[in-house]
Amino acid sequence: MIKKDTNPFFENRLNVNRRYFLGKLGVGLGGLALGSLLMKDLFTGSPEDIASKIQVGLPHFAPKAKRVIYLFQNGAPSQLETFDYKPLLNKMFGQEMPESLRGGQRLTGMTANQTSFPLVGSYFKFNQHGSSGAWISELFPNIAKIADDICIVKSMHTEAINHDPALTFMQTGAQQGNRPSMGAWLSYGLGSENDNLPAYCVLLSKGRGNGQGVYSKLWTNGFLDSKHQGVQFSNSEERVLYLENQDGLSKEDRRKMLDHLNEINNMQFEDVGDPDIKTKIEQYELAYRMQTAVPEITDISKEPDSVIKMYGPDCLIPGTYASNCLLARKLSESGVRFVQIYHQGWDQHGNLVNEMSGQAKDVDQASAALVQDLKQRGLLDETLVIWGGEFGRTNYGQGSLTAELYGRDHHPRAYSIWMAGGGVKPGLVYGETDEFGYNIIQNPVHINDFHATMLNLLGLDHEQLIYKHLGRRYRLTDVAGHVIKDLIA
Amino acid sequence: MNQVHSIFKYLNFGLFILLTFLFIFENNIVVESWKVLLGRVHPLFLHLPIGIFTLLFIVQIFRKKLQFENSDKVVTFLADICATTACVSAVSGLILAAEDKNVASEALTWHKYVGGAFALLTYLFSLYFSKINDVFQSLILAIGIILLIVTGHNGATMTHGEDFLKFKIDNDAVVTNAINVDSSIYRNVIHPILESKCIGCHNTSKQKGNLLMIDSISLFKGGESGTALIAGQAANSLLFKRMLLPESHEEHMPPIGKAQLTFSEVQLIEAWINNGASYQHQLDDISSDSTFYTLVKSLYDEREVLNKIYPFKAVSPKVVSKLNTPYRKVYPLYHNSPALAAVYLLSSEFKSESLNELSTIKDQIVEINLNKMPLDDKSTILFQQFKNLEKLYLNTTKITNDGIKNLTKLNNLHSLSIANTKVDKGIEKYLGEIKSLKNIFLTNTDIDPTTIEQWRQKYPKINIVYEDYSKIITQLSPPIMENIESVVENDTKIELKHYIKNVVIKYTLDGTEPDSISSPSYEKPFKINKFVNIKAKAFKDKWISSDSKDFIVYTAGFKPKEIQLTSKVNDKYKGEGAATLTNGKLGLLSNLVNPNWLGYSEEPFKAKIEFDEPKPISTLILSYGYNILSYVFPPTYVKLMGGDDPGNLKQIAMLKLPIFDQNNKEQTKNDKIILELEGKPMKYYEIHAQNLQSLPQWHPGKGTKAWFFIDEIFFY
Repeated sequence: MIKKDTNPFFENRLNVNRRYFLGKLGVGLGGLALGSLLMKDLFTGSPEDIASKIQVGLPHFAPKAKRVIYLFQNGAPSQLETFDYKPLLNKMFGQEMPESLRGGQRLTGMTANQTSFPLVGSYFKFNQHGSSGAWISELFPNIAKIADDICIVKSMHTEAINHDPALTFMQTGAQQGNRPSMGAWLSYGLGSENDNLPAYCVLLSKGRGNGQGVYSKLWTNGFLDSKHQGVQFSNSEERVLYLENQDGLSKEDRRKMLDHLNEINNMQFEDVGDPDIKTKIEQYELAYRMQTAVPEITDISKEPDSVIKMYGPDCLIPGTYASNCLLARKLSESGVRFVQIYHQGWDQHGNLVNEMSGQAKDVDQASAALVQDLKQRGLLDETLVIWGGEFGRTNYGQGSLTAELYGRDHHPRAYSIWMAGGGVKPGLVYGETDEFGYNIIQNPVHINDFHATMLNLLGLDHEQLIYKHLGRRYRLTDVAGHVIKDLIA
Repeated sequence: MNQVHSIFKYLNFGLFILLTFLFIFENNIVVESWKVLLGRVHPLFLHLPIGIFTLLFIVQIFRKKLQFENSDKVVTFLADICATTACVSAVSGLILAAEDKNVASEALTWHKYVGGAFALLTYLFSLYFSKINDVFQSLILAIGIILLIVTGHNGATMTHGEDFLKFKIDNDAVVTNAINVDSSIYRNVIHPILESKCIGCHNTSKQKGNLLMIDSISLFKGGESGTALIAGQAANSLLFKRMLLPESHEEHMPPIGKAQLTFSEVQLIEAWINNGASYQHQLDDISSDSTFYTLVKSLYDEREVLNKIYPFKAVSPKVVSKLNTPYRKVYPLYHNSPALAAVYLLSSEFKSESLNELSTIKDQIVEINLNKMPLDDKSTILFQQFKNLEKLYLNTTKITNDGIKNLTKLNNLHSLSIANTKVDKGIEKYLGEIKSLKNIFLTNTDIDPTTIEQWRQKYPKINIVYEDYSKIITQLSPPIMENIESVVENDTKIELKHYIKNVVIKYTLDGTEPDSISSPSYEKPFKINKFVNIKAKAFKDKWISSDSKDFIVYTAGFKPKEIQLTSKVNDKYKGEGAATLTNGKLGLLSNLVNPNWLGYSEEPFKAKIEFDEPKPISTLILSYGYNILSYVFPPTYVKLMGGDDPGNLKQIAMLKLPIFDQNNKEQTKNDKIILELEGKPMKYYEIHAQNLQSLPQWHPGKGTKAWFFIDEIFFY
């Protein structure tokens, strides 16, 4: 699956003299014929290049999931208050964290100067749920109810310790910017199921907790074609800005205008051969089709009361997490490959108890409802739902410390996420951290492994989803990543 | 020439006698010592008659046209040496066959007799060719060519194997290694081992030791040494015992020199036999704590899982791409898959006849998604042509029971989604008829939960997905205020709304909790005086009423001519200077740097206010915010001075505030301080608000100065 990025301008100017061409052709073909006797793969390519025969835009093998809905909890929710139950931390409240745990782990500037690292346990109570007996905190009563449908991974780990690189890592498989986001890779690898909508849609919402920014580089196409870029939906009545026709311009007029514009663009393309012109034409056409599709698909006003009750009453208020979940279901149902929701406000350096209660209230019901709603429609089997943040939080307190008032700093070594549907083993709790919740002691899942597994569920071999750029081949997992087969049903 | 011919005639006669003799006493030939060599030259010799006979045939065809001189002599000579070499080949072949009598197979029998017939034909031709005419000569040579092909092919089958002439696929090794989860363990794991290490010599064309290993019947039947396999007893099964013998042992299998089984392959064969040597069992059928399971599982995990095999061929990609429109997508399930899926995309553009356009791919289509399309019962008859349909999505369509009736002939349908449709319990009679059905989705239909429960008992093989959401009782969210700003012009109307249809909003203005009976219902936007604290609550039948929500709205009030900040505002938090206090915007506590805040820490807040003319102020409101964790506290006191002489203002109000209580749950808040005044008209005012000088003991910043943040002042 390699797309060569030769310089099209150069190619266009390369004029081949006819006599030279014919002369070389004879010698060349003869040479090839002889060569093919000596070299087995001369015409078929070496096994490494077999990948390039796979058509871009289709799964490499039978996929379990067709689409992804990623509920990104921006700011990094604490694993210790949600899915990673560590009663020892409550028992050892206020005591110093054993130095041996840290083992040289670098700290952020926010707690590096702290003279003491007092352990603090979860303010929230944990209970076991579902037949798997998964420990889930009281913050998530609704998610607890679907414990048997979800797969909790308690052993995610990353290398970044600050939000921006960590988010970028989670999104693109690398800490530095400029690589394509996973949604863009999917759009590139699988194509769009619905040509009237972007293959990658982004929805934003904000809780009242301490927030961190989200920015468009997180849904960038990187070096991939710009049509793979995530499209951010607005929270206003007009979901995609500047999509409507201007006053006085009818649909027919728009069509006529586009036809003429395309003609001019095609002339320019023939002249200079820049492939970006083709992309531009495609995007104008997509926007034209979106004029009909977006209002039809994003209309949530006709949803029955039963659905509204499921997602919670906030789901009709534009810009809420619940409303974005409902919208995500509608977009996904209509064939959008990758819907990414960001919910900001999970960065609890202080006042954790209060802020997390609010954040959890925002997301608990709607996240669970989304999974159930997909299940009821027969769509959960083919839709992978992922819930999680960019890293974990420390087992020691940051700043002032009481059992009710405390904060936690960033912790890259272990964090929890959950997944549902799309071929993931339901009711599984995977991975284990030590009893302090600091280090992983069993089944670690690196972000690259997570990406490899996600691509595998979608029928893509992460080692063959390749794009050649700046003289080398790039993958979402770059040179790392193993599919975690234990997670796959 | 004649002399040469005579020599050959006698030589050939002798050889032919020998050949006849060997044919007659074939079973009694004993091959030992030097005679072995006679047999083994067979592969060397046999190519001579093939070549010479072919040459003979070609000469015969062209000799008229080319007008050879002495062409008869050439043909005679060729016919003679051809007969000689053919007889020698046949003789050596018979000796070779006698050497190992165990190699009895169909191919050998054919090879032997057709080869013999060919030798006879060449011998007779060399004797009598000059006595027959041209046409007859050619006819005999043509028969000879046919015999040659038949015997040659059979011989090659024995030496090179049956598949030698088939096109070779480069990665066939990968294909046989891939796991097909729907197939048996035998097919996935055991058969490939036998195939690569045993079946080469134990197949229908080369049945060594009379043992066939190609299927279950032949293996249990065994060969000349008896049955090869005793289910459950690897130690007593010849198949396994022979693998364990030392490699040098005569009976060791595979024979020395051939590819040997690896240790793990032997392990697998042993575990397979001990587990009953089943040809049908799949991974799920065997107990997960057995060794066999562990061995097989690890192999399954290692190898690529093979995609499902469909009983139909792929259509050309051109046919598929022709069916793609902006309103319908048809796509293969994955790269190189013959199976196709179709999804309809826009309900406003949907026409049910367009299903007929899929008839060109009616065999290939396994999945159709018509969710939300205005599909009616009549059109469901169109589905009957899609014989291989496995998944059908008809959620939120106009379909009823009658539509389901048309689906009963779909023998491969295993998943049917008809959530949110008008079907009712009448569909039961069709449930049993769709034999292949595994999943059905029925949420939000007219079927009641008790019926569903009965069906689940009655049809245990069908997974019925159904949830009764109508009974969920949920709490409404509070109403929303449409006015975006909390500070409004003096005669602006306040508008409340709720996104859920048919909600009744009740509200109060006096700070009391609204109730469903006595409080007024919100009907239309209303005006307010000075400032209000609206408490509003939403009510709806079958919902829990919402929490009440406070909306604090200030009208702009009197605008002063000028405000002067007379104490030092912190450099970082100086907003828009004095204008901040009357810009009609409240500050956000999540962003203290925004221009709507003035922040004080070093000095208390002090401001002088001047009106155009003496104003009778009856109420003064200081809007401020606190955020305890960010060291932002309420002030300790607020003091107001007033008068008409800016150099001589008198204190007209003073309010002391308690220190923030540690146990107060509201750690951040936009709050206000209200000063009720006598309302005497005055032109000049001065306000002081003192920030907390020493943070309390419980605070992380204990002892240091607190901040005071103010965003607006209102005069009424």
